[in-house]
Amino acid sequence: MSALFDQFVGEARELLDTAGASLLALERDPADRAAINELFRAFHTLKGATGLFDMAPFTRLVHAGEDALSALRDGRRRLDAELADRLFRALDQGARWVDALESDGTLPGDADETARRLSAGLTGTPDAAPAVAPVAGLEWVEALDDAARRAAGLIDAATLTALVYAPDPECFFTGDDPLALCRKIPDLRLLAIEPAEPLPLLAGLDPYRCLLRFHALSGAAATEVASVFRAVPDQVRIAPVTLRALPGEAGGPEDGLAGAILREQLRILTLPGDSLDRDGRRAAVARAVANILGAQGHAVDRAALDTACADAGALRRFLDAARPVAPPVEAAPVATPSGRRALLRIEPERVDQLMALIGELTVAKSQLPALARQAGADSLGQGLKAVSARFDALVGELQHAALRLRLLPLSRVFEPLPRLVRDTARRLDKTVELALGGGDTEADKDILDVLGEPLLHLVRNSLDHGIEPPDRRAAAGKPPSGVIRVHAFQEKDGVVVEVSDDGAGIDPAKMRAAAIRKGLLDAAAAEALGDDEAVRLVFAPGFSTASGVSDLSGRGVGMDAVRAAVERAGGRVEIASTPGEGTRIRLVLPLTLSITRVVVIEAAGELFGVPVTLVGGMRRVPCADIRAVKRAESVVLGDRVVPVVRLRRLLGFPDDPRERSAEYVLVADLGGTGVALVVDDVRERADVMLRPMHGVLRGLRGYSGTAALGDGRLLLVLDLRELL
Amino acid sequence: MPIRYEDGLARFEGLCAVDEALPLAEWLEATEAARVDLAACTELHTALLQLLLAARPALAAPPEDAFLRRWVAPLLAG
Amino acid sequence: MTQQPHVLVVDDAATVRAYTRQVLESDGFTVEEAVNGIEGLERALARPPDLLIVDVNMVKMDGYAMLRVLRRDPVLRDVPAIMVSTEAKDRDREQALLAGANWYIVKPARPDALTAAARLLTGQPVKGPAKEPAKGEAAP
Repeated sequence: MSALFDQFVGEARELLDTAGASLLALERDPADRAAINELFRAFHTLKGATGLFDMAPFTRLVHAGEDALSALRDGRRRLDAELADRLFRALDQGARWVDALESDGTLPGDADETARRLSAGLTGTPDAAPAVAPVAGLEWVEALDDAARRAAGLIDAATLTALVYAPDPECFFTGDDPLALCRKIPDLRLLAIEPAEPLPLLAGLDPYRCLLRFHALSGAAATEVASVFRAVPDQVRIAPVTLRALPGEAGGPEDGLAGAILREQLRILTLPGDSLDRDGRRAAVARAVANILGAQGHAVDRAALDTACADAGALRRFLDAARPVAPPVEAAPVATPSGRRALLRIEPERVDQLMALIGELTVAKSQLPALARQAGADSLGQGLKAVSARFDALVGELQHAALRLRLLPLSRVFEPLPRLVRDTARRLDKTVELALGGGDTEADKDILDVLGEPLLHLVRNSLDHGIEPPDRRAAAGKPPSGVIRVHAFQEKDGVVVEVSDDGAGIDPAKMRAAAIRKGLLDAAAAEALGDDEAVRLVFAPGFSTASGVSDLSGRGVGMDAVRAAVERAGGRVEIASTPGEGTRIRLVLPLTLSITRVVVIEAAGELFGVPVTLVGGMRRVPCADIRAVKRAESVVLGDRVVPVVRLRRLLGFPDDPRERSAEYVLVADLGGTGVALVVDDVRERADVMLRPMHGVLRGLRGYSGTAALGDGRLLLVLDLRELL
Repeated sequence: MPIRYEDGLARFEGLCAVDEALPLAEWLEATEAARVDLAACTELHTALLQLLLAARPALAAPPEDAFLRRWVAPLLAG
Repeated sequence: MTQQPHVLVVDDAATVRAYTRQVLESDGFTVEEAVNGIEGLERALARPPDLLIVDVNMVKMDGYAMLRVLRRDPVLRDVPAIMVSTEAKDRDREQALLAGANWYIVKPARPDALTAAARLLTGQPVKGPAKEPAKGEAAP
């Protein structure tokens, strides 16, 4: 049972996601048939799946949604923002319920109430009062006795539309005929007519005063039933109800079921169709009848049966002859159940463990070249060298294969965006189109985790500050609807996610002014900033371009938090903006968190790594070009003045005693301004498996982790932002 | 004439509307052991049904109309 | 009966498939699953089942279309079929029979309703009435 329940939880989530995406698509293009069909199917499938468990409110809610969508599909209803909101609310509620079901195994206590409220909004029942008890008046359905249901043929479990119609006593004067109206109820399953109060004697009865009340059950959707009563919405209550199967009927006495199926076979033979259809049905009927009779222990003359299946009359005569008195047959246990296939799911921790082992393997194999050298040039040495090379290749492939296990498409982090844009735009009274691209680009699960929040924030920021209100857009000669593009692709150093909008852009002059006002820069420094650098100020800590912080972009989570999160993961943020035309922000992240491509540098005999994503360039700078003003050094690189930082000093090592004419400089790109990092030597680039600092090392600031190089040497990977 | 009155029998035919209510009420009040024949009735106005339910005349013939036969006739038969 | 009757369950809802499988397997049937009409036909052709249990609404090919095709196939046309649907209306039942179903069950199908019909349509001896009525857990 729990496996089935787990299955349900997983499938329900998927269906809710699908429904959400389709609903968004449908709202963009109400004529999108594929979207409405997919949406309908998602609700329909959910209805079926929830029906398997004891969660009637859930079933009722999705049924109401299905009804609304059915009306939408048939053109009886239109998708306006209001209905879309209600459908979204139903989906959100469904998601909350799935969470509750997963954690508690049951729906919360208020589920019934919630389902009623949300369903009433969806079915568009004319009864708009609702909220509290929208189906008051329909208690009669619960009170239906088995005899009444049997009489109406309502034996199986079914979800029907229930109706109570209490006509206005004066309704005859306005030309209403309640009974005639009830005749119009589509797929009428039950109609009960009763006096609303005991009828007086004939002499005392006013023939023009309506005293009757009508109860009905219909197999049609609530909306269909409601449309019959659209002229008298105040006199009816309509809502879906779920009937349970009558006990002892559906599964019934076996002979009863056999009889029912046999009767159905007779009916099948009377159905119309072309000769091929009918031949096929006859063949199926013959085999079904033979099996049923066999199951009941009757001997079957198959040839006679086949002949009898020519028409219903012949089959009936055959059956009468074949079944004298059915001797019940004791059930033989049907063989043992077969084994079940198990799904293969991998826990992330196991992949991590695998990655750690590969790291150990890398270190272990790095001792081979040294051994090979010791062994010399003889055959042992040659052999070791060959084995070592082979190991290198295999470990590389192993690492690659293991990494792939963790790769997931970026569409995962895109998932919440459509809904975010839709809801936010609606709240801000802006029209915004979201274009997503490159969702199939893959990145490590850890990277996706890092990416999620910043991406949400960037999109919110575009909605909030980027895209202008429609009137402002119109005044600027732009289409009233703004566009936000989120596009992902792979680059050689990692994955890139771009968020761009065609909004107002960022005005560098305003940025400079704001920076001065906030005391981040003095007037001269602000003036010295290029336009690009001024725009980059949005990433400076404590900076906000809007005069007031909108609740949409989140309090305390500014653009600097986006930058910090991305850089912590070894990535970088770029921005380009043109006032009046829009803004483009790029997040560049490594493919994985665990494997980081670093530039290996040396200082005071130690090796350090700097993530490649932060390295803007490497060069030798003549010592004469480094200018010192008081203690601060700087160098002109290109047309920029870049501060110089000596890694030895930064890490508390003594200065390099050697005389040199030029320094090795690594230009680090830390957003805003660059930094020229003076190191003793610059070495190779290497892909290393970054391990967080453990034990005593954890207290050290300025390092993002340790890593082993291919030859086994240890490397400290610098966290430059923290260091500087 | 949608309702024809013959001695103790009222024959309902076709569409029997609300304007039949007053004559039917008078006839039902005046007639001992009244009987109604609904066989040919295709529409029975609620006002008429209500009168029949209050007066409970014997049902001489049930309606042939499927809707009336299924949902209305059982109320009058008892 | 030494051979376990083989049932092909065609439904796009994984939960419903799993439920049906569980109910049928616990009653001794072997179960194969397909997610739409096309896959259902492919699987049926590869291994003709003793019984089909087919959902109505599915993408690519729905249950009606699948049964219509099946009933015209020289090998598969007599395979008994149960159609399952959430719709309880008469016209839905008739649609199912027209398409070629032998029996129609309204979802959610009670375990005993499912196994009893499956046993009858595959010629398995039916259970005595004294046995416990249902597998219980998922009955509505």
